[in-house]
Amino acid sequence: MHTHLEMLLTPGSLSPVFQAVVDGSAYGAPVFAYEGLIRGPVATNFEQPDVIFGYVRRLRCEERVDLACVRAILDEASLLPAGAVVSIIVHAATLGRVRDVGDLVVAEARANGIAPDRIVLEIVEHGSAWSAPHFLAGIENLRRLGLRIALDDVGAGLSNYRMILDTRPDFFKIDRYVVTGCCADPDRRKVLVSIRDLAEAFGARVIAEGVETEQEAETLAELGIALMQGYLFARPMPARSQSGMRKTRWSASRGSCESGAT
Amino acid sequence: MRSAAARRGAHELTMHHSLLFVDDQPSLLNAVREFFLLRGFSVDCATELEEAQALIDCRDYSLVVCDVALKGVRDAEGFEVISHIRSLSPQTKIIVLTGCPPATIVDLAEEWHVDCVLTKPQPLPVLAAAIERLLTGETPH
Repeated sequence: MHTHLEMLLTPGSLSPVFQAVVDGSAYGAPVFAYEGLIRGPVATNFEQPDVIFGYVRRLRCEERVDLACVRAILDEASLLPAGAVVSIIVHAATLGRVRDVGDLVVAEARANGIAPDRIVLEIVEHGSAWSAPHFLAGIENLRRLGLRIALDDVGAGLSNYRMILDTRPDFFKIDRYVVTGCCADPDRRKVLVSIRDLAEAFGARVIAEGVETEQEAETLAELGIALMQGYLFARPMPARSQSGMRKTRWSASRGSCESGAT
Repeated sequence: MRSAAARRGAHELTMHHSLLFVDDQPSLLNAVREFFLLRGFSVDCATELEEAQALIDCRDYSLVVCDVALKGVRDAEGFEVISHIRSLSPQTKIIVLTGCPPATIVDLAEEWHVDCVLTKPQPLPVLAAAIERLLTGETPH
């Protein structure tokens, strides 16, 4: 018996926090979207999301926890600033195993007063067994319902060309492995340019994850990668703490640290 | 009474080491957690195979103490934990703490390069001595 799984699925066990995705190339780095992230019960092994998802992937029950996370995040997302775009991570396995993921997401969103076009589902792939036809049908259903799609961890793991072809994402989220140290590494910049150009060819936008230094943000802005996410701009915080007057110290357009508001 | 140098040495031993205990008995894990936290180690505990594997994926452990039977006396899931450690972190020391007769697991313990096999029950100071010997590079008795 997997008692921890039952614990994680107990209502109230999963706590959402939100990290801003900003336009790092614009003055004041205005918020573009908020990514919903999950924390498990405090003072347990599952407080850390990597442990939660490592555990559920090994049990091959990603879909049960993913859907619980979607509910928790959308319940809390109604406290975000009005009109905010919300992104939520979903395993490819969940779309491959549950036929009506899109309908469940939209129903939960509408129950919280959030229109489908404000939601981005970030698809992450970890190689679990799932049905490819179900997955493709699930992607098609997301589009039909007006949800947008991001491909997570591009440049690392299993977010490869096949996933790009299968999902035709609206956003390519570049893994922090490529982003970290890009300011000092010409090879990382070559990979960033390659992903940027590929995304543009698909009519998609790029989001750089794990931006932690001003030098990295400046490099990304110079490469034409405007959307950024990372501790340089904001740490994950509860929805109620995401006020309309977000302070930021970074403005690439000025090439220096600034203070601004959205 | 230990000298200041010995106490300082013990502190230096524990402050950089994290331990993982894997056992399906929560009461045993509560006891070892408290005991080794007080000795200055960083301590994680897991009761399930998949929980232990997820922790090993995410964190680095100096030493893992693992029961063999995580679902009952006839089960040997503990060796799945051990094989996972060996595939990711060959340098991690491993102690098997088992209620099984050691003769029944000796082949598997050798196959996975287990550093020490202890039978339950063991007084915590004895377990601590075995851990400290392995972490200081001494051959366990």
